[in-house]
Amino acid sequence: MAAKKDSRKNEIKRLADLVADGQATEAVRVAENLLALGVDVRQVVEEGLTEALVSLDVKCNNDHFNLLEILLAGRAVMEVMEQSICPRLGEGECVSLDTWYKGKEVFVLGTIKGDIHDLGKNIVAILLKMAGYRVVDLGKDVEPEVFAMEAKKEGAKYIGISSLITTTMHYIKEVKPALGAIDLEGVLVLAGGGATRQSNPKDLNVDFVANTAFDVIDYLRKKEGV
Amino acid sequence: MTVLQKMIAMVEGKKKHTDCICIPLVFGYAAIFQGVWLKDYLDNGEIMADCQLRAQKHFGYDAVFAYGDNSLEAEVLGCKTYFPENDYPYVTRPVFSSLSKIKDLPLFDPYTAGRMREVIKACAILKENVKDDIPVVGCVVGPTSIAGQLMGLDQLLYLLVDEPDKFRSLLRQTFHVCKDYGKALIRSGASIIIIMEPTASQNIIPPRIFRKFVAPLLKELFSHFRLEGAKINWLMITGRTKYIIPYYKDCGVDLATIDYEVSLKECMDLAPDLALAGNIKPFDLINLKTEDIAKQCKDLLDIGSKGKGFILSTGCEVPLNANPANISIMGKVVKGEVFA
Repeated sequence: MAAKKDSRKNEIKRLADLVADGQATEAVRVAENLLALGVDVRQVVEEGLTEALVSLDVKCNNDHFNLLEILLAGRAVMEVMEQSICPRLGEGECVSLDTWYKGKEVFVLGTIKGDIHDLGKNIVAILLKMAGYRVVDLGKDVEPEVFAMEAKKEGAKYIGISSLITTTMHYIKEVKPALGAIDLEGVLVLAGGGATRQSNPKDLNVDFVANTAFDVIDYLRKKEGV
Repeated sequence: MTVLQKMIAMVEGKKKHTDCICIPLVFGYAAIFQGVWLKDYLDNGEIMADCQLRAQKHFGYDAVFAYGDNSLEAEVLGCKTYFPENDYPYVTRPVFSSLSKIKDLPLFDPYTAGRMREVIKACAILKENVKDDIPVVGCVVGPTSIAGQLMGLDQLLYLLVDEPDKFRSLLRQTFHVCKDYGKALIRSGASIIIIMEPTASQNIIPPRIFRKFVAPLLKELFSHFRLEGAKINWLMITGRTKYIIPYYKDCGVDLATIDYEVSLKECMDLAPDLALAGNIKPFDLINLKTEDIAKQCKDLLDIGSKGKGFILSTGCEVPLNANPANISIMGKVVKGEVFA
């Protein structure tokens, strides 16, 4: 019995390693095996997938971080979710990763006006979803006022703004005033991306500037006392 | 000695850092600070050249640039672009929307193709005006970065992993775009070519991928540019480059721009045979006080003077809303007018 448990634990660990390494096809195969052995779906997600992404946090904060590896890990997560996890959940419980949330807060996310780079933003979206947030992804080239309006419509507690290009950074400053104009001063605004790393919250008129995708999660953990 | 002669002596290791050079990367800012609409600058070679000449004269730095923007090549190759109000254009629709849609790129003539023609025209006007006093620097987007524009960066990265042969083949095509455009710029008066290859940064791909796929193409490109008459091969990869900079020399790079994310001292140690340019943080030119920029310049010059060669510059392009006083001060520090 103990040996069986150990073997399952090892397989879950292997799933986490494969996801972190971006090996989507093999990760789906291992996830399928685990589920066939009767391992709980949520255990596969939390210990196999979420753990894999958490392990990338360390990499994200050192010199060896690169977008390619994070992107591949994100793709592996998505494929395991869509091919193995969601079909096994009840109707309406998880039709896609978008609905995999546990009643946490709503996070409105987008790339700022004038910028169409959305790779970093997409990675943040995956991490947020895995952390249980409901993500409202506004896409790219988003007007500052639209962030505010969508936050109101969706009842969001957080707004995340991505910007890779320095020349678009001044639009980020306009989001808080747009929130103020509709009495939503309480919504917290986070910024991140290649351009914003040069700056600080005061310059950008935001509550937090994330250097990496994982900084966003760390910030939220602190805010929510998790 | 002209600036170009000084730069050549510097990259050849014949001249120590006794006569400093200052080349902030002033591109579209040359238009904006003079109240010229950016689209007019990017669409018209005469306006571009005029703005570049005036900006250089006003700030007194040591080069002029023949460069449009990083979507120019992609636009010529069929990508749809959008010009926001008084800002740089960007690609709204890649030409290859999925892996299965990759096909041969259209043939183009840089002398007649889209806005490329205007940059080439600007290059010739710049050369005619500055003669050999200061260098005309032509800038081309590197093959990996063009490919990223053609497909979208995420799709390009998936292609790299899933179908490396197709990735290599696409890069071979964009290599030719880069080569033909760069050669046209040299023939029109550019004595230096900068290859801008942000997608090859460590922030995007691991160093082993840079060495395997990107470095050989850069080497071949710089070799072509040298044969065509380029006096200096200048590489600009923004972001983190610590683990790839030791391989630059093998690619034929004489001079490398380093971004603010890497330390000048560390890069000098890692690539002692390379001349370096950098690395004022662009955003600081908007936000910091002029005296703080002056101090940064002085510190960089002190460090840079101990290496093979150093050009005081920005880690990336001067932002369109930079404080003009912060650009001016860079030249003044170099000339010894501050901290004398």
